[in-house]
Amino acid sequence: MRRQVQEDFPFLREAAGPLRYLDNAATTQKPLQVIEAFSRCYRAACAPVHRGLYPLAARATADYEAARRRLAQFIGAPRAEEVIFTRSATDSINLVACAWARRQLRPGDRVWVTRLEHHSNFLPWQKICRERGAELRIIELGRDGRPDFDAASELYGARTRLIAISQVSNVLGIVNPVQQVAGRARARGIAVLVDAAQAAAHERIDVGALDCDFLAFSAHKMYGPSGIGLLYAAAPRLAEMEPFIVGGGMVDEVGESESTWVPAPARFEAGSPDAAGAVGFAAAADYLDAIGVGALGAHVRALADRAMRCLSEISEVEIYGPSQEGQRAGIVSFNVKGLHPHDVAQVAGEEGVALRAGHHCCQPLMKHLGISGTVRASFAVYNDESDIEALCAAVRRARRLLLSE
Amino acid sequence: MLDHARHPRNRGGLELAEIVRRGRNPQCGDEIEVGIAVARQARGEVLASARFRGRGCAVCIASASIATDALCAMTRADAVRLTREMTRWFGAGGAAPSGISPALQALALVRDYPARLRCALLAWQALSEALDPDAVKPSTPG
Repeated sequence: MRRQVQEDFPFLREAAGPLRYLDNAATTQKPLQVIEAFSRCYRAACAPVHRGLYPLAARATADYEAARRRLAQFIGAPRAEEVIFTRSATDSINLVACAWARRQLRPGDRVWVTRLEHHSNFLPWQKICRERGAELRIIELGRDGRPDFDAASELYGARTRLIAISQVSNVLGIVNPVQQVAGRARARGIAVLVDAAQAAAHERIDVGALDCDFLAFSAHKMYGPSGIGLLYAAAPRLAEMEPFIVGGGMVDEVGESESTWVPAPARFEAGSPDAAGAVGFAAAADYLDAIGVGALGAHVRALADRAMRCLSEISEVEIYGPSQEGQRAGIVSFNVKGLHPHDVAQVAGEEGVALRAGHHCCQPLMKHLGISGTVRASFAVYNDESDIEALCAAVRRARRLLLSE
Repeated sequence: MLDHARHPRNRGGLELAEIVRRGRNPQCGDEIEVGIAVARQARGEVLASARFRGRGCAVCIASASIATDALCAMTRADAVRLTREMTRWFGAGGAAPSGISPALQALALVRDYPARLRCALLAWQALSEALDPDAVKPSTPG
């Protein structure tokens, strides 16, 4: 697959030095198709969105709304109004916490998250639960290292108002059974939020089939520009949300003491919107669809399996998460016994292998695993087997360099 | 630095220390404790020992090893001066403190890696608190 797409990614030719970019779970590189769509916007259609009366402004508005419709279609949302542009997946989740949960939660209510969650899908709930006197509960990992939804007694209990879970773990690559959880929650009237940040580039997202209430992800982890994300909010939930950020572009009539708001989605997009970002986001969806999200998912899973096999041949390497093949959505987390993950990543970096090391914004998971961090390799469309060889060579070099005999 | 990371000096044996201070960086899970013992001699208070224990990355451990090595047998006043100058040098840059050993100079390598600065500073900040418990706690960059 790499040869086919190599031409699309300028970083392979333009970034300094030979680069094995394996930090894709943090952010992906951008293809020309996205860079050009983004650049075209600033070259030929730069004007205020929803605010101008001349043709150029109409064009900017049309581009922005076309991007919204394209992304609604990309995630299977029945109505474009259910797609709200935000700055990031983090922003989207905070929006749900502040615009919806703050009004919905009562003292004693429960919000559930898994032990795997990124701080972005943990801290907003911790904060809002404390504020509202609600209780944040954690779905713990079972013996197989996956969240044990069945063991979380009272998960679907009468006091549960929301279950907020990631579709794919950014540390372990575990794919959670979101559809199953959403189905059981639906039957009991419990809202479900899916953090799809790690899923968007490799797993087909279909909010219709998932039947979830909220779904959040960002563009920059799926080959799109950074600084833009989206929140899908199902129409009934949208109706329960109050504006969180207020200001320009979201008002109907402003009075001295009372004001009224325009309907969603503009109601939740105060401030001048990021038109180029939205257009680039839609171009990223086009790019993914042209290759096929299914093929992309299979590609990164195969690479993760291969990395796991190669790394496990190096002595003192411990790999976290599921050991069966085909279970990892393009992410492998590991440690070299006796070495700090930051040291491994730095040595690898000097060898041209870009890895992430640390707690990956998952301190609750790290505490559970009893470690301070891991080294993480995560894969994308432009990676291939040679990157895994470089990864393993770099890990071997870190061992030689840093471990005393 | 690699040598100090692989074979740290002055590690462990904090039981005899008079003053123990701790440095933590929750971002990377690094956590070390430093301990000093002071002897009164003709030239004033002298550091009879400076030791550390804990876990951390290679930069953190090497820095703790080099720092404790450098401070041992110094007078308290000189040690306070050196830790102050070293922390300033890491943070603000500028000229190296005068007359420092090659091992201390080697620590300057981390200044090319801003992400590792905190790792290198951890031991120095803890030592500075141990040496001068009344001083204002130095702020951490980043």
